[in-house]
Amino acid sequence: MNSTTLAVRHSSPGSWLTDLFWNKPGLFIFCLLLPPLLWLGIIYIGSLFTLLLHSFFSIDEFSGLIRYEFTLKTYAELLSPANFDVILRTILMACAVTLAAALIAFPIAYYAARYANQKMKALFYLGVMLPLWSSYLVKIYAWKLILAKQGIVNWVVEGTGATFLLNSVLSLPVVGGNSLAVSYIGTFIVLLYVWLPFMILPVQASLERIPESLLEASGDLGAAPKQTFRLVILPLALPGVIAGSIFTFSLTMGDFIVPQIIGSSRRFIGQAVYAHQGTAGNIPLAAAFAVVPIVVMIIYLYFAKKRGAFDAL
Amino acid sequence: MSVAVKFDNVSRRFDTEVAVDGIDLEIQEGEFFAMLGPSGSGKTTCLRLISGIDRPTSGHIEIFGVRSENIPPNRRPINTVFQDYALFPHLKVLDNVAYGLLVRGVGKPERHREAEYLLEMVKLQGFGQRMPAQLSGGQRQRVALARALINKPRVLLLDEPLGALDLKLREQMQEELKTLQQSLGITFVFVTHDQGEALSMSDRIAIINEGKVVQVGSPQEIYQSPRTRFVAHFVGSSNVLSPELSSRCNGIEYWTSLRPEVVVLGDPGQGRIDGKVKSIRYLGASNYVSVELGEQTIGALVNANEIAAPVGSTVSLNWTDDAQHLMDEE
Amino acid sequence: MHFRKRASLGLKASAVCGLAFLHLPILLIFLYAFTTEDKSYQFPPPGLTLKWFGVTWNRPDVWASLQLSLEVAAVSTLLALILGTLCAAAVSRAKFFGREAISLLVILPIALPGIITGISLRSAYNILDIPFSTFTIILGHATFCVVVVYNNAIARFRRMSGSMIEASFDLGATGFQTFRYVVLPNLATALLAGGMLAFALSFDEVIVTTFTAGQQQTLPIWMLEELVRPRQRPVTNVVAMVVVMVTFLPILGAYYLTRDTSASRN
Repeated sequence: MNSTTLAVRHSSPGSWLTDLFWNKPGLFIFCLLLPPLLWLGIIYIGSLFTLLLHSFFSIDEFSGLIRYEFTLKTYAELLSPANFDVILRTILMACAVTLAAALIAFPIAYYAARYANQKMKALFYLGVMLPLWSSYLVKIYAWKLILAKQGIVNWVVEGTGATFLLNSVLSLPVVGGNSLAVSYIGTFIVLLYVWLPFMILPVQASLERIPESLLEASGDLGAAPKQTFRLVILPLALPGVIAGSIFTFSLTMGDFIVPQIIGSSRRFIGQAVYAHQGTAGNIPLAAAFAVVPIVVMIIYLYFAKKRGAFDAL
Repeated sequence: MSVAVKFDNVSRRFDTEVAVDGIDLEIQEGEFFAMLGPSGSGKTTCLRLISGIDRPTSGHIEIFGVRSENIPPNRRPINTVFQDYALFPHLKVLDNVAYGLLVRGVGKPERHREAEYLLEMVKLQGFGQRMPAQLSGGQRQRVALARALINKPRVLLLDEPLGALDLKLREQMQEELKTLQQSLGITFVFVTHDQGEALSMSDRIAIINEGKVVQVGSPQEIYQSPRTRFVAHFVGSSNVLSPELSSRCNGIEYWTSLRPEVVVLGDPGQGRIDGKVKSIRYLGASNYVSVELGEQTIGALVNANEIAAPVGSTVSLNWTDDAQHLMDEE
Repeated sequence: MHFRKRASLGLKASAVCGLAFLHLPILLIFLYAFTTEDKSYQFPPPGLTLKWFGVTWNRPDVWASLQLSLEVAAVSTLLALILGTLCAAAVSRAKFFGREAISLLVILPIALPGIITGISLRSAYNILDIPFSTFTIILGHATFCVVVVYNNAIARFRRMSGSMIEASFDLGATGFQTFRYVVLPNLATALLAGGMLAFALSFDEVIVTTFTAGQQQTLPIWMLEELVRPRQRPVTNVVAMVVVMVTFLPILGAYYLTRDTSASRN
């Protein structure tokens, strides 16, 4: 045996590759990243880019075909009163759903994080995960059943003699309508239902990260439970709420199926995008509409990041 | 004896810091070598460079005379006992130990036989069918040791292996490791921040600070003749006399180390210098007396049954010339 | 300690009501699958019957949609498994420039509303003149499924002690052996869970699909048609119930496979 065989062990089959990657660790990372980056880079980012590109094209009024030259005409169309209404309506709805989701999510998350034992915790977790993951369309369908004319809501209302209550709610201007199924209230309830679980999980996670000792310290320093809640728990849970609001806000803004099935005939951004790209074939206007939620979300994410919401994701 | 591991001007830089800064070092075959330094001194990085898990940014590492910077860890005749043991959680203890043979293509009966033998060597016979999670810290450490030895490495690296064990177990393991190293006759390189551990176990010690080797020597050399102030401070609680104080005591204006056990207390005016007793700490067999000399204090280790001067009284300090040791300023 | 002792009645009640709000509507689906009424959504159902299950069973259009959905979900899941695992391995293994950008890139398809992904792909197909096909559906589905696998895999990679992989190399294993004997066994349940969730996500997806499917009907597209223009109320009721049950299985499975992860995190 010479000194080399003592100092270096025999190589087994395939170890040349290990040698190579060990000597060039960057190459290894590069090889790992190449397929996902190619896929996401070309298919996703590339598509986003063509979307942006289309928003700078316009549609020829006479032929109905897309004119592939740069123009800001399509964006100008967004500002027409009818289209601007759509945008405003969508953003208001997203805000309303987000606020309501935060209000409903907090007690659930708070209970699960602070009071539930290990077994209950698992139950709560599943209790949130199952609706979150279960079929989006089925969830909407369920609400169609609930809100339908002969459905459960009307049955309960008639059974309890609360018809006048429902009617007075439905007679409210703007948000009311002929029945819940064709009113903004209906749209709001279903959107809230569909996206609520996305708020609960991050809030619960942020509440669970608050160490018990912090609350004990607050109590020890003389704070009443209510003060501890307001001065310690709430500020520490805020990043979680903001993280959850990213989802509820973004998902509500892009939804076009809920308002199409349950709601009035007045459109939301998603419906506008869908309608313009479909039979109308006006992809440029659809693209310009789609850029709005992207821009809103970028601004939203910027402020969310400032409040530390990304660490709570 | 030949050189097992040689560092030739080795540096390892990370983005902003230099973990290892131009180290030259030779570790002899068959010796128990300790790398001693505070946490963050770069000693663990040195170990990772030897094993090949990390690569030097510059310089060369020779393993048994072969330049090894380009040889990956799986082809070096070196194995490691990791600080957190790094046992495979999904494998039984027996398969953990046999892993090194598995990846070399050794058949199941043979590698299990060998693994059983090693488990016996680390006094864990009968534990082979358990999962790592079912073992105590001390047992896990033994499994890690057996696993690292199954490939018959020529150098065994141990990264603070006793850090997580309680005192009694630690002392027991120190002895066992020393015995094991002597019976196997292979090189052990041992990283620790515990000076007592390094002094009691090793043949030679390298003191490492801020990525540099400050001193290499036998435990006696390190303890009795620290080369720098850092070594004196870090190894044992040695007195360090500033050049100014040193010149007042013995006329040499130089940094000087003075071990507390050689300092003799006497009546005022009887010794080299007088000072005021600041505090007395009871240590069992002896008392540690801190004596204030202006800005500095000198500690003296005094037999517990000697009648010590009370706190606040003035005493003299004396020692023989050969008890003091001149050092570099660093 | 007194904080944990007992929740106030109000808190308890609102937590329970919140959960009930999430679950009761889905339970309603199960009731309607048995109703004898076939012209309206009458509640309570005038009678209960099993006959709609038989009717649905004999509907070729439902079977065709189901088959397409399963095909798309299977291929998308496979692609997402490969891409998501590679990405998670790279991001967890090294600190390199732009790690955060890569995480963002993976999460983006699901963080932005589905309609953005949909219309983007639609406009890309338009510019490149790609005709709609099963392939165009899969392209979209795999893209947003990657994140599910990625999240599961990266959580597991982070939990894996880094020195475990180093130990494998140290003991003489090659990169491939390390993957085969150490990484894969520790990753397997996370990948299975991620794959199941990706499958459920793809199987149920409708928003992106409406933009990328053309004339083809996945099961959710079939359901959407029924929702917009109800023609086959009883068949839709049965399909809805089956869809709920089909998606619950992978979700429960994924939960049990990764539950020690969430337990150790808490």
